[in-house]
Amino acid sequence: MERKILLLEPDKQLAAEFPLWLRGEGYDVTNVVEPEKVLAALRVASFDCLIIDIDLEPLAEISLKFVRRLKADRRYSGLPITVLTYRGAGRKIASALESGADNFVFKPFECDTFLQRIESIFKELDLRGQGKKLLDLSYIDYLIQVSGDSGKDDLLALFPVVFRLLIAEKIKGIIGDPVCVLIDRRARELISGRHPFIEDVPLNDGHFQDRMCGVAARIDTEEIGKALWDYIHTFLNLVGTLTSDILMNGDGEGDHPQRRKGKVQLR
Amino acid sequence: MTASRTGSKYAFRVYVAGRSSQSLRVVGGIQAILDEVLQGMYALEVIDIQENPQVAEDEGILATPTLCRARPLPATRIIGDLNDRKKVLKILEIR
Repeated sequence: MERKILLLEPDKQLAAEFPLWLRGEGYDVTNVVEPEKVLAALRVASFDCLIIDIDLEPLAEISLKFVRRLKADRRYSGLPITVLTYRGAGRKIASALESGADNFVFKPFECDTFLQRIESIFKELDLRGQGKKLLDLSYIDYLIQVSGDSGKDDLLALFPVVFRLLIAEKIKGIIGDPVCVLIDRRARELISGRHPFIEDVPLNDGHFQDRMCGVAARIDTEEIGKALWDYIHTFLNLVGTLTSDILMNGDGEGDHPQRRKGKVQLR
Repeated sequence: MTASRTGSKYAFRVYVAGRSSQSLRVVGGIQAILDEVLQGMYALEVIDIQENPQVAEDEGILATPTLCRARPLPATRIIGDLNDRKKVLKILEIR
């Protein structure tokens, strides 16, 4: 079945390149260049996902208003929404996720990785239709890259959050949910209190509000990284859904951001 | 990594992420196509966006691999599978 993607890509050059590539990969792509056209497109056809590039100002804010409208509308609230932005745009991502976007992808992305993410969204849709949920741990790779952006000491910043979500939230079903911790309010809720692997985090630290990964500098990355990975492996093996291959999700040893930087011993 | 022919009519840039075997394959594939079609009379610059992340943003690169024909103008770009010779030549309007 040909999957239908609605793309909001306001950038003229990318509006030409992006659909061309996706169509070449076998998707049915409708591209709109103005946020206002999203609703019009949804009224005349159904789509399997909506991808929004939020980098072009001032359209980003308008786009996010439309995300909020869609998520509040019962007809469209189930439509998976992925936002695209360049690395370092933490505030934009937080706004997008708070507006209701389901996940995000950093530009520039590797084509194969992006296609895996899109397929994962479609797989989740199929499972949702069957009343099931997907545990897609390929996301973890992304989380590592996100945390790696803000400095070498931040490499493991999201691991404790992943850890806490796995435990405290009993696996919601999609590992993408931990991305939501990038939102300051949720992050505060999730990491407040003593964690077995991190020190108390000074949540009144303004530094943390401006960064995606404010807790990492306070942890011993290597030791804790090993411990967390061990734990996550053990825990997820218990639910029978994880393999090391999924976690590593790269095309070679040198490609994994953690191993490349020598911070974590994955196995 | 640069294959340079000063004054060539054709100039290309290929954007890759890291120096993985996959990136090397992409670059090798492009070089093979360009060598065959342009008989080596081109300049090819390889840009690793992991080493130069700002370049990707400044130049509006969406994905890797991306091949850009910088010269002759207007510049054109292609994303994704760069091993498809026919597609590459068509989109980049090389002969």
